[in-house]
Amino acid sequence: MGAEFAFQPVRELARRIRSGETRPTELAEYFLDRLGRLGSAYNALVTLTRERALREAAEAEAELGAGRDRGLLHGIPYGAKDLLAAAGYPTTWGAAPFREQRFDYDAAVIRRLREAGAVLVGKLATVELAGGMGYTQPDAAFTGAGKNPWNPEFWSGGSSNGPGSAVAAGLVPFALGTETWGSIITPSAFCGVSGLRPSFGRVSRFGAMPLSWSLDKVGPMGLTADDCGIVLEAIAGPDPADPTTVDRPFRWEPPDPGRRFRVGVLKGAAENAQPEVAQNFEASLRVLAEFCALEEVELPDLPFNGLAGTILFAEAGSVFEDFITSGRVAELTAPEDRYRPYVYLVVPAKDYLRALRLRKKAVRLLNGLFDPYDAVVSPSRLTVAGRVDQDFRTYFPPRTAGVPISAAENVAGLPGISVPNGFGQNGLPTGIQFTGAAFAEERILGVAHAYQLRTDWHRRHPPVG
Amino acid sequence: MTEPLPDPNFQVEELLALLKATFPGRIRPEDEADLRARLQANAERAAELRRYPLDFTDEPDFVFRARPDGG
Repeated sequence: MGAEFAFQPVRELARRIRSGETRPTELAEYFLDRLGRLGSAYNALVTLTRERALREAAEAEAELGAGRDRGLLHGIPYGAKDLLAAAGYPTTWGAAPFREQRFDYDAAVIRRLREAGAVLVGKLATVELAGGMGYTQPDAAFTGAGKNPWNPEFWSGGSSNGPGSAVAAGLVPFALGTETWGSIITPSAFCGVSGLRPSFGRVSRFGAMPLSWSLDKVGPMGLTADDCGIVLEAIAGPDPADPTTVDRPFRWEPPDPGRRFRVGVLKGAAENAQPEVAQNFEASLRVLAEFCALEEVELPDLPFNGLAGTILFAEAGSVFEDFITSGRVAELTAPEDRYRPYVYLVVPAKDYLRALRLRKKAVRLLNGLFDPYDAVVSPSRLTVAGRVDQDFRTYFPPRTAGVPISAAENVAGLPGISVPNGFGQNGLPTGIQFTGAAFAEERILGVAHAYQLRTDWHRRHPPVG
Repeated sequence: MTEPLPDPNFQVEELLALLKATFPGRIRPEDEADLRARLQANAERAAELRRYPLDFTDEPDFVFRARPDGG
């Protein structure tokens, strides 16, 4: 195990496999060892999928040896948030009452990665039930608070904390996360990795824990925008098992390095941000100005937070009605998760339906606003991560909880990618988000990739192992 | 009708009482203030949504298929 494979992007690992510098089984052993040895330091690992990983790696090695090449992910290890079913292993949803839960099938995204030849090495930690019960502190899963590889005294974000930590610490080359409202973007920003929230309908949710049927998305988290594009190409596409998926082809090719882009800058996006976050965002805009035409854009006047909250709480209340009414909710880790979900049971149907009706306006207005731009940029989060023992209500006061676009983009199902853009308080990463019109992933990935060609924040890694 | 009916969404105390009666022993006294604040937030969200006009043509989006094969 003398070779160093951590912190290598997918294309580099794929090159090494094809050049004979390494083999899929060696990569699997390397990342199984690294994830198993270091994952607990960040409370990032739920289950090491050793047997499956070694089997998949051996199959990949045999196929490649026989001349069958499934593409860039063939033989590349990865981890999956433990909201995603993987046959043969527990799928805990991060929640103590579901620790023994097993499914006899793979989630659609895991099946698609298997078909692409990727190798599942571990199920990664999540905030219990994707954070949907109203948690107010990092310690809200039976695996404990997610710890940030840049400083384990600080949080790794939620709810895809395991994927964020594992990618940031080089424990896996890439991972799958999920987002209902901020759960890919937040840990990506806090951990300094690249994380893509696809358009709603781009990626099948089959086999993923439902929290909110009309808000949940599954997406990749990796070292670079390029990695995210490669993974998205493998997992995107229609699926009869998920009727919300659409048949819109997606192919990822990095754009010509000399290409210029049209980019919107969200008005007021950095208001209420920590000073370092605002400074890093301004610095990012100066980089973007080298190859983009920048124009200020303003969100339409719609109650995005109210829409997201009403839809999420009503749908989560239905998804987990039996779990809540049975009283099993009391078995959750975070004390507030044991009683807060009761309010979901009394969201009036008329309010939910009104939110759905207003969402149609939001979808029309936001796509109209974003369509002319390759991306609209904003800080990914207004702060760096807080301490692992800190209540959000003292660290994230409501008015500065998130950037204004966070609720809007999730309500409308728009794609977004967070990439690292510097460091802030306590030496922790900050991020910039590129958001696009629905199904404009190739455009936002193109701008983010071009940004990463001109910066090196994504090549900086915490001192791990 | 000479006065508008009280908006049930603002009957936070009634909803809290309903939850406590429906699930006796589940809500600890020390959690009531937070739960009350959450119910109030629900009501404020609903009120915020009502400030934006809708007409009869504004239908919700439902993902519904009349046949399992999508037909």
